[in-house]
Amino acid sequence: MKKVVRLIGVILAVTMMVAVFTACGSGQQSSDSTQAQNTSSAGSTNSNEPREISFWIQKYGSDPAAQETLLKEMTADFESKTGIKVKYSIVDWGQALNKLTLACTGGEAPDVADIFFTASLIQMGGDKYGPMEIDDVAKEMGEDSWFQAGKDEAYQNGHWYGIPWRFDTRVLLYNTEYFKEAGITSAPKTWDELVSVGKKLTKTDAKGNITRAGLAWFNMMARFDQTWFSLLGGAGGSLMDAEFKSPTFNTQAGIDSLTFLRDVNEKYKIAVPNMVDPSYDPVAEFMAGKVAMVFGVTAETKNNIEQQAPQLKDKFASAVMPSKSGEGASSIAFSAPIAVFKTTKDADASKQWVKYFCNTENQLKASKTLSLLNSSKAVMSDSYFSQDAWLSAFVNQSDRAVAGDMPIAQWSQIDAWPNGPLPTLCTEVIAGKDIQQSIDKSIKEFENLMK
Amino acid sequence: MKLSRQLDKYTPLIMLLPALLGIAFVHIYPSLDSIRMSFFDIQLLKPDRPFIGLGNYVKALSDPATIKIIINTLFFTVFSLIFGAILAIIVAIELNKGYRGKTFFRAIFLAPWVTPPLVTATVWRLLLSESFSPINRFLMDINLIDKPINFLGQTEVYFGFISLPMIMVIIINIWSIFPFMMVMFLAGLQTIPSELYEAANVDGASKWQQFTKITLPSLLPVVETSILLEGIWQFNNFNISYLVTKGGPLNLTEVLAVRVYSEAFTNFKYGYAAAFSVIMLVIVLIPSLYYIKRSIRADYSA
Amino acid sequence: MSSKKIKPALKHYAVMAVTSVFVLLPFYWMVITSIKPSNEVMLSPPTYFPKVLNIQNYIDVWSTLPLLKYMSNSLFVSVMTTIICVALATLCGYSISRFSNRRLQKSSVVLMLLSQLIPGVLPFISFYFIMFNLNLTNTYAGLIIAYSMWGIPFCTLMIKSYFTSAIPVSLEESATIDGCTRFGIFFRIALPISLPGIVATAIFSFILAWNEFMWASVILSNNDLKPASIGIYDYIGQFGGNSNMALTMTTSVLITLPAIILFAFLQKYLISGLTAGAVKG
Repeated sequence: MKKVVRLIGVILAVTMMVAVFTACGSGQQSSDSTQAQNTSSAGSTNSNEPREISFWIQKYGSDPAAQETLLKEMTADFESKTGIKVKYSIVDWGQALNKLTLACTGGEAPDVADIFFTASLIQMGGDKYGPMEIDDVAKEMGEDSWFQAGKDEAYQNGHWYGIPWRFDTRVLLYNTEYFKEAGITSAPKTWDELVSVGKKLTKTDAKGNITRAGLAWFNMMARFDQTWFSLLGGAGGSLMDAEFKSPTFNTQAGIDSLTFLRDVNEKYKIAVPNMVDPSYDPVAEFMAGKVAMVFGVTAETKNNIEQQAPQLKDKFASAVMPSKSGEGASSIAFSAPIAVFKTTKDADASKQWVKYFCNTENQLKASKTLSLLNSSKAVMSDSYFSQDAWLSAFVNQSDRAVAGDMPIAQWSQIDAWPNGPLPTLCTEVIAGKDIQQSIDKSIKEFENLMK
Repeated sequence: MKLSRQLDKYTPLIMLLPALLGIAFVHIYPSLDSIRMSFFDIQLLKPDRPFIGLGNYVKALSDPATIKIIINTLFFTVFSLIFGAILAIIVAIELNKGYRGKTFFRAIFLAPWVTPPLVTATVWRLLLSESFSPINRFLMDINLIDKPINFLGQTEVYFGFISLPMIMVIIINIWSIFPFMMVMFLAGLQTIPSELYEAANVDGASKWQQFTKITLPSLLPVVETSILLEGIWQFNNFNISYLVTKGGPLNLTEVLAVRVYSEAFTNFKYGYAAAFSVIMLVIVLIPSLYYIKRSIRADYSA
Repeated sequence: MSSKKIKPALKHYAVMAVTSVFVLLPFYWMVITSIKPSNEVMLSPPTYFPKVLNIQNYIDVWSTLPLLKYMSNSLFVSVMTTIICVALATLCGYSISRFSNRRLQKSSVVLMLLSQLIPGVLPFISFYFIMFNLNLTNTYAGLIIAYSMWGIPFCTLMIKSYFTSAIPVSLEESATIDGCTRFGIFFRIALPISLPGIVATAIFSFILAWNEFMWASVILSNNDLKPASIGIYDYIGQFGGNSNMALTMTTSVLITLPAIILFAFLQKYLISGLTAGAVKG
């Protein structure tokens, strides 16, 4: 009997502990719910109380510790300068979109966040939630401080909804040893050269199976849409018209680019057929020496290779991507802004943090630590980018890149993976369906979503 | 004294209530809300959310891809369940024979169950990748194949729904669910009195006869509930397909739960996604109703 | 020994060996990848066993990720989930098994089963907003409440069948005559006898909470509360690719191994608990 009594005692004690925990939770959170109510009241908070804001940022770079250290340093320095405490949290890519969606539809929202799909988030948020207009910050920092791609993403309907920071463009990665072996002296500049160089680099066994592919698209989880955007730009086409009103890829350039996307494997046999395998990772294949060129890699690829395949150190290089004619756009660029959420209770502190985080010095530091490029002209003009052999290709490429995300609210649906019209189009083409029919179908659905 | 007697009358209710309230709050309300959403055109990017009746259902069922996904889901569920159960029952019967090392093996076989799905998916993706798979290396070393098998990327489809990636996804799923079934069978087996087998031995029954005449009939009622629940869980299984292949390649491994997720969380069409989940509910309700009906009747007689 | 005895033994160990290979292959590969020197990880075809042992990955992961924190979060959430889930499921299961001819009890069984039919992904949204409005996002309580309620239907059904079969009604009837209240009977007679069954149920709910990742990653933005089941996300990059295979595998080993060892010890109770409970469906 005594045992039972003791057991009951334990259960009771534990239940009470839970109650206490719940209570603690609500205590902390009650401030958040008041946040939601007084929408964007400017920062005249009680000066006795320490001001605190929350900041969400996605995970960047291949070393989680580096990002943690960077944020710790920056928030500590900011606090010592302004007395505002910044509570940061690093959001996993796996859940980033879900969390931002919830934040823009009335769920838990940070004060400041690193966002993407800006136009979609603004639309979702309506009047109460989502990124808030911060024209004053942009004006203060200088509206000409950023490249056009950065501005396109952050500047919507005549207002700034964020300050552009990270910038991302894609280049050609190649194995210099294999180039030497094959007697190739310079990186391919046109698609024809890409194919002929690819053919020289491809090796097959006696039965004709490819043992080393000349080329691989940079496709993760069998996702081809971004590669196709680069090819479409490289063929002189564009996804949408200049006003972002309707799709414009039902053209010869659209057909050419999709044909080329498929033909590297189908016709030219310079890529392996298993690109559709969701476990296929082109950079891993490159590290294993099974691929000689990867079309469309990101800046952090260098660190990845050096960490995971040190045997390849100094045996790879980056180059501006080939386009169909050898001139004009040949790649895509992405930019992402830092935004303040409408639900913040201390807009002033939030804006101060945005200004601090986005200043040239800090952005340079962030770019170096997280292997990112930057949307700011001042940051990119630093000699760090132009003198580094790996990064200079990115600098040159950024002049020859088209936007990878369209600044329209429906973009997140149009480019939704795997079932949005654009990813579906690429998948169908890779699967061997008729290109013109697939384009027609995709355009129809694209236009439906635009209504 | 009288008060406590009075109270005692309500004891069964008091015992029941906390759990029922919890279930209502966590399962029933959100689900009813989903059913409600399925009749509206709810899209996060559109401010107005009109009532469209069965519009979402018509759209979902008229999409030719839906039938394919339903077939995929059924294939995934049935094969995971059947082969998982076969493996589990063979292992459970062997473990029940009392050979040396059974505690050791039992401990090993439980390991997949406590492995978080994210880990399961990541390591299996590596094991099945064309270039880095030790399985491929082994098969090539013993000259069984001359080039690596592309486990998750082979897009040939047989009989309209069987593809290598789907089979691989099912194998991974079996790996992670068979321990649970094994434990259930093991527990059930231990309840079968050994006299039954002894008598059968005297009568000269073969092993197979013993299995079909004694083991299975005594086991089935014991594990019925768990098998039914396992079936439901597999039908609703999201983790494996989503984490290993994201439904790819070319949607060959896409199951209904993944479709619901992508419609809701990447396309922001909550109403449409809700309609899909109600369709799932209806499909899985059919076999369950039979069980529910019977279990009510059984309880009457008990 | 006669061949009559050797043949079944051979068959037995053959089954054990084949199943062990199937079960252990992923774990073997996880460990091997984590101890390969960095210039060997990305070789194709891969090596079966590293030429030199390398524990640098472990040092790196241990020093960069707060794994102990993740583990203790997981442990805390799982233990609390287990306690609440088992407490509620035991009460409920007992009531259902003892008063099975009442209408409410009967419909509870149906309710429990129905709750399992509903696909888990979508009610997420409605449920998220309930929890958010209760200020339970970003708290341990938000995780614990969700997990224990998710576990209750299965645990109740298991415990119900346990009570139905393991405890003779006559024992309770004599206690009623002795003047015990129903709660008294439950605590003094039913509970102690059914402890093994309760342990088994406890293990189920523990594993449920231990493995869950979707809910945790959606409701937590405070990294201090992060459980181990999503810790591996720290090494998975923007495009879903594994940006560092060796470190991912090292993290996997570190978060799986303790649980496996723990369960190797607990499984004895699991099996005996289930056995006693499974006499009657």
